[in-house]
Amino acid sequence: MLPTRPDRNLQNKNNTMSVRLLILHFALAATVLGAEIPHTKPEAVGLSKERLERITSALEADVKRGHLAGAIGVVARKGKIAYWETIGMADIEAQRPMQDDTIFRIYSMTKPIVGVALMTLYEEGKFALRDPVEKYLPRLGGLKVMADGDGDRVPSDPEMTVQDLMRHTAGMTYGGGKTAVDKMYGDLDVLGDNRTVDDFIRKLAKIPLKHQPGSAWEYSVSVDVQGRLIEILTGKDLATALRERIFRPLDMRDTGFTVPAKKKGRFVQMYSKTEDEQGIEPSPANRSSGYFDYESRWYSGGGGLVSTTRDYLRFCQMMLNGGELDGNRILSRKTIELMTRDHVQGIRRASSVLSPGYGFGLDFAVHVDMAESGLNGSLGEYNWGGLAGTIFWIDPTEEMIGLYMIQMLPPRFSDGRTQFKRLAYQAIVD
Amino acid sequence: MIFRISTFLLALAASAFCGEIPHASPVEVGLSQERLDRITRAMESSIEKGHLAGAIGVVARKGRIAYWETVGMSDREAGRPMEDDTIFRIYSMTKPIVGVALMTLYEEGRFALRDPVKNHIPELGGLNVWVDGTEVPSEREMTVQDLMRHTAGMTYGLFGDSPVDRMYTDANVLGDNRSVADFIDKLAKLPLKHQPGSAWEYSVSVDVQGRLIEVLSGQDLATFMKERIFDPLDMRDTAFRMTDEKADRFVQIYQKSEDKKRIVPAPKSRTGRYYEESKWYSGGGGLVSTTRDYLRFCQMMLNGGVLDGVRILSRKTVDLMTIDHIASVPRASSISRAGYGFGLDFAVHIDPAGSGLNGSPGEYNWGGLAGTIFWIDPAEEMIGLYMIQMLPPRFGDSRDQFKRLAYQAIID
Repeated sequence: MLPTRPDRNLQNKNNTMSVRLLILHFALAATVLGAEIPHTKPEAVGLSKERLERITSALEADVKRGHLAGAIGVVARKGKIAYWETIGMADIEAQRPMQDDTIFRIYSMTKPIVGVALMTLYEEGKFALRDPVEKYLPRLGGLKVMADGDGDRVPSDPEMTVQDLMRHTAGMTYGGGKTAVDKMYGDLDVLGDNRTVDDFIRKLAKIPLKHQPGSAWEYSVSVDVQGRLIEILTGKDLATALRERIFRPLDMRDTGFTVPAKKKGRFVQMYSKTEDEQGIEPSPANRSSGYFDYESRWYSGGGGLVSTTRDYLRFCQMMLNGGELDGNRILSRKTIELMTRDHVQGIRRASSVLSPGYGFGLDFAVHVDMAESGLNGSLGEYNWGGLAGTIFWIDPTEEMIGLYMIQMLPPRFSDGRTQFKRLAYQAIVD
Repeated sequence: MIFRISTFLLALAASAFCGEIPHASPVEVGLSQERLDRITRAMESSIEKGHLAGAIGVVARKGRIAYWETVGMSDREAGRPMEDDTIFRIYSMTKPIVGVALMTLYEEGRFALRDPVKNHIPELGGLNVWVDGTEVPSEREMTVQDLMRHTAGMTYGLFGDSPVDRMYTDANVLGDNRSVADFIDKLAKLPLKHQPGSAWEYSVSVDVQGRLIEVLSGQDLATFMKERIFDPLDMRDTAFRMTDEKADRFVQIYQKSEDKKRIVPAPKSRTGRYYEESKWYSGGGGLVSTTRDYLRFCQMMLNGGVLDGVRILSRKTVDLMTIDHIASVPRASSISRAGYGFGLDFAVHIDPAGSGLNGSPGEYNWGGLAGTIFWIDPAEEMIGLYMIQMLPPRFGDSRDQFKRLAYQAIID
């Protein structure tokens, strides 16, 4: 006989149960959303613990020799952290050890984050890669070109596109070279003394291009231009746009253009070589400043961020996952594929910043030739690094991420970055 | 009882580590017995014609030996037949082993491929290049990668007739050395034949790799090779020197008779220093080995750097060694073959149309002066090994024939 009226007590019990289950569900959902990238034994993801320890020996050797104050090395595969070593000091003079949550100036590792943020707007249909930049930033239309930085001023033809900005073929430079155009970058101090990103654009609009757009790969301030493009397309300042589109969804809680006063004790000291080149010493503050200026609205899309190893790893894992992390989708897999293929094949290299064997995608370098690079890596691996020696790479073939965090301005003693990368790859044993 | 069990366990462990590469019937690994028999007939025919004293041919697939034939004589005059464990002078088949040994140091972070050689061997910095009768400074320093892909600008001397080749011969770079460092001292006095990176020319650069190993490891090359390669892979008969107790397993080396109609034992002067007591170990050609030992080396490579649980290299480094590193480099030596590029101490098949070989792109190989060859084919999971002992010029090219016949035996 089927019950026609449910038992009242039973129903109450069920309700209580449902509430409890609901709470449990929320708790579970929260863990899933805010989940940390899990750790694993190296062998579980095709890496050899013994071979990974060679990385530790190399890091320790650099610290022992006095070539580095400290370092963090991370190798993740198949979505799990198989290696994380934090060694040495964050600040030798203040006797603060390097910690897992030490905050680094990531300089040009800002660029891929800004590129991803810009591409979220691409995915909203706000622009096309082949749109002329002048469509959104009229000041940058009709610029003159001085060929190789010293030629006669001729009109630019074609106009630079958003794609040019993202693959460093816009015709701009960073300055610092010996040409007339390089000198103008220096004289106008394009990246310095700005109060807003638009201040930077106003300066830039006064300087001729060094190359015809699309004709040469030269590392440049074009990611700072992307920062302004984000501001124009969103109507928000760059710091706010990045926070809303990237840092909050990915729970990159220590990434930003400034270091909050309460996190000062976690901020790593910057080092450079001593004059006699025998050791390292703290770098003068003016070489790594601006991180405590909470008033300015000048946010450098090309190099202004600070971040932690954990935060940047989350960004990398989102990329490796094809655009999402913990259920939060930032980009479509198709857009990631577009960003991480070579966009500069056949284009002359006018700057040595791009390593041999690498092409360039949209704000990432892409490994295209192992014989040229001499690296035991994979084709299609993409990466970038920062001025103070930090590097990351993402390898879809091996489902691998590498992250190497130091804080030492060039010239450094040796290239511990590429050594780290070679050592990470030789640890693959599956 | 406890003692017996532990002995038993030890024996088991030993067999797990030192297991021999197993045999299989051809059909189990996608090969035809009938078609493999064509190899046997070809080898027997060469011996009947008096073109070879003896030979060993091996074809392995998917980790198992499907074909192993040992035919003819190891030493006709002494009446010694060719045996499975006959010891051969493998000459340039030394090179891939030295390359692998060097890359174990790459995997320890000891050097980068693009490092200038002078960072580690200062004597080889600032060399001049011989151009039309004068010496000009080199445009860039040679790198370790240049040494491993034969683009350092050096030569061998004996394969060429240019002024620089003659300087190599006059200086006797590979002869009368007491140590590998002696060889470097001679080499440092000679100009380069090409600007580094500008041309592929087969050269003594693997002997330089031998010295690089000594400098980086602090050990002599023979000791390092034993510790890094021969002991871990149980290559028990591979070494730079022969021992008296193994003397009767050492194959006689032959050459063409003066009338070019038959073969005769080659004079001792042509067969090296295998009993000498010096520290001169030629990384470019000094090893003796057996078919079994070299097959173990090949199987380690095919397995992605590991054999019987003993890892020599990571798969990623094996991959790096066996891609083409000279795609855009002009060839300046007849030793390079149409259809082949060059990796790091291995030639790499890139174009079967260019080579006319029924093989696979990505197959990699090398050979030795006395006619030995091997190849490793990741696409077909195949290894071929052909062991003879006959100095050039030989009768016909039975090496290529062996390779074509091995490939035509694939039926899966």
